[in-house]
Parts: sequence; C-alpha cells; structure tokens
Amino acid sequence: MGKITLWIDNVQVEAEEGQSVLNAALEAGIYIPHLCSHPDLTPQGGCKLCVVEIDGEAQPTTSCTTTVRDGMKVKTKSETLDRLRRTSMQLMLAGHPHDCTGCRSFGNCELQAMMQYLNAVANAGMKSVHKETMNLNTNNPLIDREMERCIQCGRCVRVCQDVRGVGVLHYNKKGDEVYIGTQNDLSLASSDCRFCGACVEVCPTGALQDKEGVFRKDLPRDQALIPCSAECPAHINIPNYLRMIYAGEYGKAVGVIREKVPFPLSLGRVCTAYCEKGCKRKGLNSSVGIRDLKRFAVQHDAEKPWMEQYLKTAPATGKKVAIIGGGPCGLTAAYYLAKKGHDVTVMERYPTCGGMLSYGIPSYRMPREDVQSEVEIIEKAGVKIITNCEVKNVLDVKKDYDAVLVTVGASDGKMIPVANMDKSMCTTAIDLLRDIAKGEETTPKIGPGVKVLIYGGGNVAYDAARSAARLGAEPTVVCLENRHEMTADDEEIEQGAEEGVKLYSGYSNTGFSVDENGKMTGLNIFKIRSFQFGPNGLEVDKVEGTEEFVPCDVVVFASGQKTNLTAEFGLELNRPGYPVDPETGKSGFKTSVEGVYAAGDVITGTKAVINAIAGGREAAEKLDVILGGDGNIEEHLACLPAAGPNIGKIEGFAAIERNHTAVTPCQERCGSFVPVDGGYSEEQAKAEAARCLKCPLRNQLHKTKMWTAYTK
Amino acid sequence: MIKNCEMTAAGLPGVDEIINKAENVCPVQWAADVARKAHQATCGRDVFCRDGLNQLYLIITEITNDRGNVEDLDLLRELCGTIMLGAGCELSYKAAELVKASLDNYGDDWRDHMVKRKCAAFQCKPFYSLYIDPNTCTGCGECLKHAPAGAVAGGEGMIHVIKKDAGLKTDEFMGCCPADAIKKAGMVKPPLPPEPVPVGSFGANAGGGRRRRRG
Repeated sequence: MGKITLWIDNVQVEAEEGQSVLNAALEAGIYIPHLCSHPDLTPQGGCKLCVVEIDGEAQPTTSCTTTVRDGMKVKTKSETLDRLRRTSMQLMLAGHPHDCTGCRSFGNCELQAMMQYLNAVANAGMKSVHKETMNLNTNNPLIDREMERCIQCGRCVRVCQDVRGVGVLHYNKKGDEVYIGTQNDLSLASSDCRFCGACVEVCPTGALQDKEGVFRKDLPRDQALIPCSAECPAHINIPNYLRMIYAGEYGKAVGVIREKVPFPLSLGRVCTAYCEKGCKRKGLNSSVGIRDLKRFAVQHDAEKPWMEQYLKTAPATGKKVAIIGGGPCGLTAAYYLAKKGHDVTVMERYPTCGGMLSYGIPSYRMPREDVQSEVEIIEKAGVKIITNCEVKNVLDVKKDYDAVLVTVGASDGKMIPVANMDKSMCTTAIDLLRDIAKGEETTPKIGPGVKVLIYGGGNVAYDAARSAARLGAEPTVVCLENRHEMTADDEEIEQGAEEGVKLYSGYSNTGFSVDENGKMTGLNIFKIRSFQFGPNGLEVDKVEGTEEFVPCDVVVFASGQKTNLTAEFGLELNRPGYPVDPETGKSGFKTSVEGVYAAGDVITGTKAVINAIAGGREAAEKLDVILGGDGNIEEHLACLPAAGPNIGKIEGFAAIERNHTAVTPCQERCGSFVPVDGGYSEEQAKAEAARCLKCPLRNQLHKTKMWTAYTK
Repeated sequence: MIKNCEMTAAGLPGVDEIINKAENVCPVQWAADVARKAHQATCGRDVFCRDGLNQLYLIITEITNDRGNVEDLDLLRELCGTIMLGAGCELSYKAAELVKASLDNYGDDWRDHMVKRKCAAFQCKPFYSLYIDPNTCTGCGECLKHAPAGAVAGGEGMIHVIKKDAGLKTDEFMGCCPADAIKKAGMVKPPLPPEPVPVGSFGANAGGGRRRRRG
C-alpha cells in the first residue's frame, strides 16, 4: 500500500492508501470525536460526531466513512462542525438517563467522556424520549442489558455480525421505536448467542455489561477475562488446548498443557479443576469438562510433537541441586531446573516417585502406570532419581550440593481426640491408603465384614471409604459439614454411595461407646445445624433428639495432614512441624539453613496436586536465579494458529449440556481397584471442547482510546 | 454528505403539497405527520434520521397538543437545518426539508398555535370545539347514538346540544349527522341553546335573543 500525504488542521499527515480520514488523524495524534466507529468494526457513519470539512466539498462529511486522498485538506474544528456534533449528542442524550452516577460504567463510559469533550448538556430543549422497548429481554445469563442506556450506535450489532459471524443482534423496530434487539425479541440464549462477550466489550455506554461476579476484579483485565486460566494455579492456557482438541490436534493440545505442567495425564484424572469453578460457561448451564478433556488429549496424543523440545536442556551450569521428596512439587521443580542446565537429583523415600499420586490417591482413580509414564519423561529430561532414599538430616545432603529443595509434602495424617478413643483401633486415611498402595496389610486390619468409620468429609475421606469398600469392609463416613458444604467431589459421594459407603453429613459426636472389656463399639453422633471453631475449639448447634449410634471396628481419621518433619531433620520448624523462614517467622521458600529451600505442601499445608506443581514451578524460577540463571522457565511447545475471531452461529448453543465420562458399572468396580472413570470418547471430547465460550477472543478486540489520550 | 443508507424518500409528499396546501390542512399537523412517517421508515443507523426525526415529531406533537413554547420554533428550525446539513440519507434530508418548508411558509400558523391557541384548519384537537348548529339540526337523534352517555343532550324533535366534546373529535362522530349539523369552532362559538329546545325554536329560525357563550 502506498503512502499518501494530506493536511489535517494544517498539519501534514502521512496516511496509508485506503485509510479513513478518521484513522489517519487519530494515528497522527489529532483527535476527532467519534462514538459509533471502533478500531475493529466497519464504519457506519451513524453518530455524526466525526464530521469534518474537506476543502472543495460543500457539506461536512463523516471522516470514518471518507477515504484519504492525496493532497486532501481537512478541517476538524469549526462552528458548523461543533453545531453538528452537539446536536447529535443532544439527540442521543434525549433518550439516555441523565444521572450517570448510578451507572456501573460511570467513569469508564465513552458517552460520558464525549459529553465532557463537547461540553454538551443533556436536554437543551430536546424532549426526553421514553423507550417502551427498553425492557425487552433484559434478563440474560452472563450479560446485563440496560437498554435505557443504549444510544443505538450499532457497535454490538456490527461486532456480532461482522467480526463474530454470529449475527443475533439487529436494529429492530416496534411501533415508532428503533431499538437494538434479537430476532422476535427472543432471549439471547434462545437466539443462539455464543456469549463471547464481544458486544459488551465494544459497548461505549453502560447498556451492555458483564453480570457482577462473572469476572474477578482483583486481576489485570486481560487475565480476568479468561477465568479458567486465571483460576488455574499454573495458569495453563486452557482455551488454547480446548481449541486444539476441537481441531483434532491432540499433540498440540498436550504441548500447550506441558508448557505449564509436567503431569498432564495425572492432572487429567485427579485435578481439583479450579478452572472449572471459574469457567464462564457455568453461568450458562454448567462448566466445560476441562479436566476430562485434558486426560482425553494426553491419551490420544500418538505423535507427541512436543517431546523433542521438551527434553532439550540448556548447557550444563555445573550447579548441583538435591530435591528431597519425589512428589508432584519436587519433580516439577526438578524438571525445570534440569532444563535450565542444573544437575538435579531427586531423593525419594519410597520405592517409586509420585508422592500422593502414587501413595495417596487410590489406583482406581489414579492408575500408577499413568504417574510413572510422566515420571519417566522427567527422568529423560536429565533428572536423576534415587528411590528408597530417606533423608534423615538435610545437612548431610547440603554439604554435597549447591542447593537443596525440600518438597516432602504433608505426608502424615492427623487424628482428632475423641472421648473414649482407643488408638489401637484407629488409623489415618493417609496411612490406610499408603498401606493399600504398597500392597501391604493395613493396621488395624481391614477386610470383609469389618465396620469402618471414616471421620471427615473431603476427597481423602472418600478415597479411604471407597478403598475400604473394595477390601470388603462396610464403610461409614461421618462429617461435620452438611452435604452441600462437603469438600468431596459430588461424583465421589455418588459413586461411593453406589459402592456401599454410608454417609452421615452434618453430624457431631459425644464420643465412642466401650463395652465391658473397654473395647470401642461405636460412635455416638447427633445432627447439627452448623458448626464453627471458636476460641474454645469446636462449637456446634445441636438438633435435639437426633442421637444415633454408629457401630465400628476400625476408625479412620481423614481430618487433615501434617508434615513428618522433626527437629532431627535439621531445619527450624514451627509448632505444627512446618519449616520456617527465620526472617519472616513464617513458612516460605527460604528455611533456617542457607542453601536449603522448601516448596509445596511442606510450606503451604495440604493442597491440591496442581497447587504443588505451581509451587514447584515457582521454586524452580527462584532457585534458578539463586544458581545464576535468569529464572525464566517458560516453554514454547506448540505452534498454534491464531484463534479465529469468526466463531459463527451454533443452534441452541447455550443449552448444550455437559458431556459426562463413562463410569465403570458398580458391579464391575466393586471389590476391585480397576479404574472407575473411562474418560471421554472422541465424539464427546470434540462436543465438549465446542462448548467453550472462547473467552480470550475478547482480548483480541482493540481498546478504544478516549480523547484524553490525545494532545491535539 | 456521503450517503450511509440507501433509504429513499419515497412515500413522503412533495414540497408542493404544503406550499399549495388546502384550507383544511394544518401545517403543524402536516409536519408532524411527515416527521412520523419518515421516522417509521428509518433504518436506525443514523442519529439524525433515527433520533432527529423522532425529536422533530415529539416537539411538533407537543405543539399540536397545546404544550408548545414559542422557543420550540427556533429549536425546530435549527434542528431541521442541522439534519439537512448532516443527513446521511435522502429520507431524513427530505423530511427535514418538508418540515422546514412548513415552518418557512406558515410561520404565523405555527405561532398562532402557541400564542393564540388557534388552529385555523381545525385539525389540532385542543384548539377547536364541536357544536351542533341549531339552525341545521333536525332533532333526529342520530348523534346521540354515536356519543357516550352524557356527552350530547337532546331528544326526538329537540335541537341537540353537545355538553362535553372531549371524546367526540373523531371522523366517525363528525360524519354521523345526516343533516351535517355537527360543526367545528375555534375560541368563539356561534349562539347556542344551553339546553335542548324544540327544533325551530332557536336562533335565526325563531328570532330569539342572542347569547354569547365562551367555549
């Protein structure tokens, strides 16, 4: 494209051939007021604010619809132009509420800014226009439509039609009124809206807004607009890998995931899925099945196109790092540190790595070979792993290494004191699950007919209960939380019930009963309305007359975990056993010994696998800097085509229900540790990936600059 | 002005229609009709067409409804000029031009609506009243059937008298009298019997006393 010279307000301006006068002026830093034009939209020339006078033309013209010509002389300010602009503003304002302070867009409104720029007053003799159509289908999921604020600039209509190819918004007419609406005034959901939010993004007033609570306000806007990635502790680019799954590019999908986490398959099976809790689609019907899609991608990635790049390491730095504890946090840190050229050795006290993935979560949820396949890749990247290696004192290790990272997790279960408790009949869920994972007999013994009482309402409680059921025992879960407050996943509770796990949710107790021999016979429980932990411990609101007795032979506490560290380990610990950074007095990356650092559950307390991985990444970044590196562990493992802005219409899009994975029938999974969840079929996976609302597309739209950003 | 809409002015009257208007055409009402008709045809994309024509219609309607101000005339002239200057389509340009033509050619009529509360063509409802001409009424009772209870008084062989004409200013009522005795008056009405009197006993036919009534 050739360059063209023109004069705007006597300033010589270079412009691209074919460019509009408005854009040429704005690029040259000369402000021409405008409202209906937007950098991403075809000009409409409708608001008349961008009128200019062109030498040789009798009448003013809209600069957004006028193409530059060589030698053109343009005037952007005159009495006539001012009159046109102010009249246009007054006409638009005649139908707009006059009080700005009650509007959510106050201070962030292009119309308000324009009023200030043009010094326009609201009525100026014009008659107020009351719109009968302003209340038409204002109640939609995700998007608030306050149509009394609409000035009918048509940006939303154009972005929906021209940019997105969806075209559900139109200039409608009813009686004597023109308004922006859908065909036949259907709700957005019924008119096949894709809920991409582009209309909200380009609206210059407060007419279209995101519903309160859809996006977080404590994050930079470009991050907040993609809630799944924002909620993920490792910030995996979820929309990108869903897009690749939809395109059938499973290798690229896995590449995207592996850019942030080295355990995509394990996470695909057991991740807490913070992403799904943030998913915008939740406000429409239910969140996208992101975790199950992750698993699908890994299991259908035959080519592994990311592998070569994944195993490439930087030249050796000569620095030696020891990592104590081969769980997800330690192995993640190990992988990234090895990539940065450091000589990394992981010391694992058990026969295999994986931490809770291998010894905590039961194998019917987390098949061991899946974990090992991911550990193997980390080893291939150069990480040395020494198993059956318990470190008694960190200082013994420290003397041979430049740095030591302690990632031993929170590997011991906690017991809660209960009246008449006989510890010989009690265990913790952690110990029980570890015994089962190792293939050892549990202590106390759990087998057919044994009545097992599990105390706790989280996923670990259900892991213990469902494992006990598989050993033939009769498990009963008792927890303080009411059913809807329990932290265990719904599917765990439902599948557990099918397998014979009894549940008393919302119950406290008065202690165990004992027989004449002093043997525990069961727990006396009663229903509670609510509970809280006050200064004197647990406080409950009892429901009178709800006492029950739950007989039990074995009690399993699933009531929290702690570290297994003692003073013998050589680090300064706080009372619960977590290493402390003497500088802050709190648990953190630094410890009391120079050159010894800590990450993961051992500083945060029990959290999810994805938190541990995020912690491992953060530790690797910091440690690399300490060892003389740049701390940059970002990877580029998949070359993706840009996401196309034209998403088109999908009939009944809002109502498309979530796909559910195949679950092994109860009679087949009871009494065995075969995997329960069969994952998505290819057809399901593509359908599920298509449910994504494609939130990142909104960031592709340009932000409009207000007049205050210009000097001329 | 570069056209941003293909909307044409088809359906709007020519300017001759107002310049050579018939006596029973009110230039204000005519302008209101033009603005409304044009606004109903708008595509909605242009502020002067969408909001400008609507605003013209709203302001003029205030005048025809006896709620106008003399300042509105300047506002209308200004608005018409601005719309013509900035119009993005033939439709809005033409509509503004027609309204302006009415203002330019019949300024006194427009002003009379506000200053004298007068609509010379008896088109704007607040500015005229209805009466039954006592000299023409045959006492047939037809108008009684077309009026709500209490609006018209009278009986067989009596000159009918309109008591309340609020709901009666319709073509249907105007045309219901076989003798065409229902007539329009401005601020001043001819002498009328206050209550029904026998046909032939009032006014010119009877030579009775003259009375002035304010309507």
